[in-house]
Amino acid sequence: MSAPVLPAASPAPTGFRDLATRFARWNHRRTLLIVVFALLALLPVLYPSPYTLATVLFYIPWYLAMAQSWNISGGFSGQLSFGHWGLLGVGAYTSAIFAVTYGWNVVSAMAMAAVVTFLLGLLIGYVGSALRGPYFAIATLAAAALIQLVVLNWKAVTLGSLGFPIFYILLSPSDLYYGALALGAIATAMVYLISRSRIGLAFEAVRENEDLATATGIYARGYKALAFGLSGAIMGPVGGLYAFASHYIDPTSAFNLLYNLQIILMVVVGGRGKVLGPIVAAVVFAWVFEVALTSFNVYNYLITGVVIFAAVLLVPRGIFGFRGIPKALQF
Amino acid sequence: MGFNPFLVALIGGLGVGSLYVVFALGMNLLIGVMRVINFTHGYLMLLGSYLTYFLWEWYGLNPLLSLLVVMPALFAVGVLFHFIMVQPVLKRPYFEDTTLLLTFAGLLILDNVFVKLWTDNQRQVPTTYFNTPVIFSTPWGDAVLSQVVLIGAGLAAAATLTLGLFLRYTWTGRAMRAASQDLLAARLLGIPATRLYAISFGISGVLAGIAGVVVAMEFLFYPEFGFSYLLKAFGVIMMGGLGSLVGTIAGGLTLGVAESMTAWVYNGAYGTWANGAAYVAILVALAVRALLGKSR
Repeated sequence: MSAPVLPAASPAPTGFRDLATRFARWNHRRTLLIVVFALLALLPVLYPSPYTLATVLFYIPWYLAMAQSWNISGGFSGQLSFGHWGLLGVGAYTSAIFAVTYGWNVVSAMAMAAVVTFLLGLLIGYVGSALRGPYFAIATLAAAALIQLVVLNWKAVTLGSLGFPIFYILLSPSDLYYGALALGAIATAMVYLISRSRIGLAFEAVRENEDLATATGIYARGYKALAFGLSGAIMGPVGGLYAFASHYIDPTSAFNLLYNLQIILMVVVGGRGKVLGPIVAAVVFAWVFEVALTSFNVYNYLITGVVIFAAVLLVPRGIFGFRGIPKALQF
Repeated sequence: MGFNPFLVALIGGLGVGSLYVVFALGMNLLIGVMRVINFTHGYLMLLGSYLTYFLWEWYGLNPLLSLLVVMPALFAVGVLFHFIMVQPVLKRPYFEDTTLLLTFAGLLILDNVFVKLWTDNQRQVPTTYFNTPVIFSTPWGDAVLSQVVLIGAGLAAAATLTLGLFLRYTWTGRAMRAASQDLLAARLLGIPATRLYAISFGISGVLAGIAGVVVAMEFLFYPEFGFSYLLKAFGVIMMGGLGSLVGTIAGGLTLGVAESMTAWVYNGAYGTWANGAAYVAILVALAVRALLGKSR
């Protein structure tokens, strides 16, 4: 009896088709992201009015950066954060204090804000990692409210409820816009790289089943702290831009829970833990909130609530999560 | 003998704390029975307050009598909320996170609707009890309290006691405790989960309504009240333990006393620190949990 004849192994794919497959597998995502950001970079050319640029268009990349920041912790490692408004406020105050009180230049003040919010995020993430799901959400909410109270009462540094004026630092509208866009691009790059790396796998493992992840040797608390810290590092300079764009901050305007809820809305609609969906949702809803509804902004809470409600019930996996949508967009 | 400010703060804190107890009990009941954190609870309470207010304004109804209307109305609203916010996602993965998002969306909607319907104006149901002081004489000095706080504390105590007896001696109450211990086993023993959940949500609404009547008598209330009470209730629940009746009582009274002591110590310039007691309570309780290594 002769040995069984094995089928010949198919040759390793080479040539043009393989290159195309590889390109499709690897690069269409990056290409798509670059195209999206190029379009966003061209937006000021379409609306050359500096007033529109500073008061309306600026908010599109600004929300985008915040949404992607929330996506790092809320999407990948599953930490529902209601504390990002606190990080935003800390970023705004840190930038303003270093730029005005200590006379640093704008970029280094915002870098300082990134460092402060990174460390604060690490702290909140680490202490909060003992709690899961909704209890973490409550803890972050309380932490942010406490931070707001401290800022309100620490009058020697923050001037308390009088507010903190930043009149002498004038950034041009295009500086603001491209600064926010750069932050949005950095945040998106972070989300993209996390989604393709071991860290991202660890984040998702912790999200899906923390006990199992721990049992397989993943240091869950460390990864949760890291996710929140990275997320916080984006919120700092984003808050700084808010401060420099509005020239004046006080404990109620810089600490605004509504921003937190709006970015949750964007990530939930776009799909938690996705890269492209939240960008699209952020652009659309930034436009909705800052352009389409400026005359209805007394209904901002109502609209935010209804959209979150509808999105959670109807599109639990995000706008690109439907079956008919091309796979190429689902990342 | 004159007033002893420490005793005044202590008694006042216990009075407010009893309100926190009955308010937080409603939230903690839902956490215990169905693991739902209901962010709309503060606005359910305000619904009770506004109902009391308008019954008084339109029909001159005594706020204590309006309990007879508020309790069934809030029960119905609670059941309705269950079918809107919890029932549709009951079988979803990440059930707790999903209901958290849904109830938070509900909070936003209710807040906006309340502000549009009833404006930001501060309201109160004026009663003769409000201006009647009650003085306790002790060997260490006198303590004073408004009569309305005493009535509120009595209502809260009665509601808490009734809930305790209900959970202990009725079939439904025992089914709730069974579900909070082990839902799967409870269902296997024939407890109808949907009906039980709906009833729990209704009872949670009734407790919110009772708290709302007390609020309408004791405080100037306005839509944002719902949110600040929510944070206080979280403080109570985090201190007292999730799903624990006795813990909620202890936590609520502790928070009330902590707040009034903070207000007494930082009198004047630091008056705003009193609100911080709840946040600190949440975070300290959390830090203790983290040290003990408990994740829930």
